[in-house]
Amino acid sequence: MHTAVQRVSFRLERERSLGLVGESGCGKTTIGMALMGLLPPSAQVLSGSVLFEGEDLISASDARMREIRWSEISMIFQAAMNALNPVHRVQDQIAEAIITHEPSLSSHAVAHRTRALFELVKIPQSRLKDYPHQFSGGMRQRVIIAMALACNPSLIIADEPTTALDVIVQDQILKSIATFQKETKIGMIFISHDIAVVADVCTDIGVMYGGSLVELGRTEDVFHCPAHPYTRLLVGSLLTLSDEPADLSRVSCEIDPTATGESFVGCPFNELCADAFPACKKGEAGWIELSKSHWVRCLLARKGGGE
Amino acid sequence: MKTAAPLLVMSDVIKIYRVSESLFGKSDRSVRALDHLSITINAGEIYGLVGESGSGKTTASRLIVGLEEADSGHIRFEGQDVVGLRGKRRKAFTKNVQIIFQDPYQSLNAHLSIFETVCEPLVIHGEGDRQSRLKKVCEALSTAGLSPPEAYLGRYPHQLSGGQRQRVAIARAMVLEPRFLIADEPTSMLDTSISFQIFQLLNQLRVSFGVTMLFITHSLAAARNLCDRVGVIYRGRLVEEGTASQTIMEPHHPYTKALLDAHPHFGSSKHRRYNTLKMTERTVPSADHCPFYPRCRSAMKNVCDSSVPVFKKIGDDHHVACFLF
Amino acid sequence: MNQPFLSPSPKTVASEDGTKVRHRSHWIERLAEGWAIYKKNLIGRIGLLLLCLFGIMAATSYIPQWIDPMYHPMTGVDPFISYSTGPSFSHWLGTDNIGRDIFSQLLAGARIAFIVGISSALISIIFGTTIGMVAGYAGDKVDLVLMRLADMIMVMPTLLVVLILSALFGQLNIWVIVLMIALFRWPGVARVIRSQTMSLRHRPFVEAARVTGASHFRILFRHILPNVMPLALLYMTFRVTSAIIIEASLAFLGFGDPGTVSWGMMLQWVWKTGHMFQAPYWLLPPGICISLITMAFYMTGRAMDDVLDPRLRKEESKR
Repeated sequence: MHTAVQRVSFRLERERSLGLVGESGCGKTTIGMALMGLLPPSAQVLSGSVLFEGEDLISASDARMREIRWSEISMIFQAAMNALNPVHRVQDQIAEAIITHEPSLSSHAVAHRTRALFELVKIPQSRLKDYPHQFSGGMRQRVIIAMALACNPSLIIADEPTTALDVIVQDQILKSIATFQKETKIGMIFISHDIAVVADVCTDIGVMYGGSLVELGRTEDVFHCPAHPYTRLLVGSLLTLSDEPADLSRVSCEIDPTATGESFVGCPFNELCADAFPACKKGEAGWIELSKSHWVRCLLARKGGGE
Repeated sequence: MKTAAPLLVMSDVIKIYRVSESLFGKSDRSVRALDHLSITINAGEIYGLVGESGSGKTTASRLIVGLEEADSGHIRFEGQDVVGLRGKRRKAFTKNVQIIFQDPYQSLNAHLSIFETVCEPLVIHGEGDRQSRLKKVCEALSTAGLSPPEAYLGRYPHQLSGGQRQRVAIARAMVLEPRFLIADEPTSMLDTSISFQIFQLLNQLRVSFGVTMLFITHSLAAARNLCDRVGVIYRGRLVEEGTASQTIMEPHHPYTKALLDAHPHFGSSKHRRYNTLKMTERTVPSADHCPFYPRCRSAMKNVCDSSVPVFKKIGDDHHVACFLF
Repeated sequence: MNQPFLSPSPKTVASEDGTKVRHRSHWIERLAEGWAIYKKNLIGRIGLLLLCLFGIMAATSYIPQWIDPMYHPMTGVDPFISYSTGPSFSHWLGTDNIGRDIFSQLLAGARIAFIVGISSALISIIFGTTIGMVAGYAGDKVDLVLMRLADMIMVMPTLLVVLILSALFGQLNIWVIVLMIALFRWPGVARVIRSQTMSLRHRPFVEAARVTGASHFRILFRHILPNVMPLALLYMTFRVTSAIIIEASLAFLGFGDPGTVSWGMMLQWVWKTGHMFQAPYWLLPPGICISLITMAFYMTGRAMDDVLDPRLRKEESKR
């Protein structure tokens, strides 16, 4: 038995977006899947609850989850642009998503909504009847986003939506995401390993390591005043376009992601932390409030290390 | 600017791929992966080749190491032509020029132990005996940051993380102490903090071994922080070239400006928007106009669409291929 | 570095406290992993069980020889019986028309089936894998020539050709038969190995070897072969089945090696001496054995398929 995620708690308000950041294997995708009720049969939620608009999703029945999926919570999966069916036209695939959840809509209404969606993600209307292979990678990703928005969900979970894309295309997609989020006022959970991308797009950031959430707060707080040593490492690893070149000779610690929190007693980052002390191994650091919008789970913070 | 002797010179290299569309009956198309590409890399420097996918940067690296052959133009290493090298000359060349691939999960043979992988170049070139090879392998592994090296000798790639595998690839490339190293997007498949460590490692290699490097990337920030000189490549052509700070802090070509705009800015001190990009579909490049013309907001009709701009000097060691200058 | 230097064996690894720890060989580990998956497959277990049974039969075929060096299933006539009799205590499956023990013939047949099947398959595989690798790696003209050759051989009806050859050259030695079966059966393997080689040729680790200056020979046998071998071994199990059936058919038709006792030979004797409907104890055992051993090898092959697939998936890159 392997514990993938533990002690994760956060709250997302309408119109806000949360970026879940962490290395591969830290559990962020598992959380996304758990929220959608799409965990594999071998996975089990041992404790905790997920309250979506007051309703607990963990104890919801399969039928209820199917109702909620896509119409209230939708997801953009990793490498989703390869998930489009190559033998169906793009507009048909979007229409199918709409019809499955709102069978009572007339075909006229469906077509109208499809056109509106394309406009929202900025794909020319002339491309509606094309097949997926006629689109470039970036355009296909926009189609996927349109599909995710098809049923007007209140929450959208995007799992690494821009990983395989070029810089310019990535920038355009991120801008579209920011735009539609403002227009449609939906909540978003943006999962990525790249904290720079997340900082550009999301209002809040949650940092995960070894299956636990270690820091949570508004982007300005977490990104500019990182309190947890791991967050500091992530922010410090960023190469920026500032006037001064980065100091490549400074020491940074070696992260071995294969050693994900085997011991869930104490802090998962303990073995690699330069500032760790004995209590870190044994004690479970609870959430420490650094400010109304910034929490960290680290014993150092309590010792006055928080900013 | 110090003028060191040029180590690698690519002049007017053209590489064309023939693509035949059989399924829908279209005629044979050809794609110009590299279109009159000329790059000079001086000894001891790190040269960054920045471009997006399809720009031809990986093709350039493959031509240099001999995995593919150029259709025209010259590639010279230390003055010697490297196209069509065979036998002993090719073997001597492979000792001096090495490459690190993008995908650490596929660039190591899953059936060979780490020791066997890193030792292979030594075996191929018949260097030393068993004892000295073991020593060299351990040295290479420590240089690459895998310490203590003995712990890694008997392991297999599937037991290592992506970052560790990439370090093994670096150790393998460095074990023969080559003079020229090509790093083809070595961190694009790795997480951010590991990427940073790999950059540090590459920088360290230059400091310790004086190895000249061609660093291929799609990230301008990486190029700015690691490289001495940077060349921006678009659709097989070099559109701008200069020192890292000049090219990135004072970009001239509209495409370079577009790349800078697209880079995540949160946290950077300055936040300039150049806005040089038009939102259009990707078109098939043509040989008779500027490759960036369809997407360029500052494009001048009848100038930019009638011929290809020439590489012009606009400053001390700063060149641009654009009709605006 | 202040670490004590280990003996130059890449298989020893220092553990945390500095003591030497022997690291299991890579192939043994993979075999252990493969076995764990194979065990779960019911068909594989049945197949393996049957093979073990036949293996025991083949091994025990040496016992009569050991007890009495003069005995041979073909010549060992029971002094008291000179016609076909049913099963009894002295002859567990009865005797054939001139009083030879059927059971020991059956055991000898098992031995021949294994020898013929495995050696023929082995030759096929070695030949087919080498040609497939060379064709897939070299490409162009070499590939064209080799694959045309493979196609030509593949379309020829093996049995017919061997029959014709033996009609021309008289009774054939068992090893000639083995060789000929192998020579007609390699194209199937070669084709599959060729496509796998073609996809491996462009993988980064092969290109890395080329950039390092490895010779083609080295690339083929050190990099491509280990990746291609699991598939080759899988196909070997299928080759064994066809080899056994062809040999049995040849023997049944009277073109086998008269000096060897094989199940096909036994069937021929039943038929030629007109005992087909009168001596079921003589007719059925060899027939059943041929069917069962073929089925057993096939089942083993299918279970091995299961083992190979998930492991191939594990090799893929992960984020």
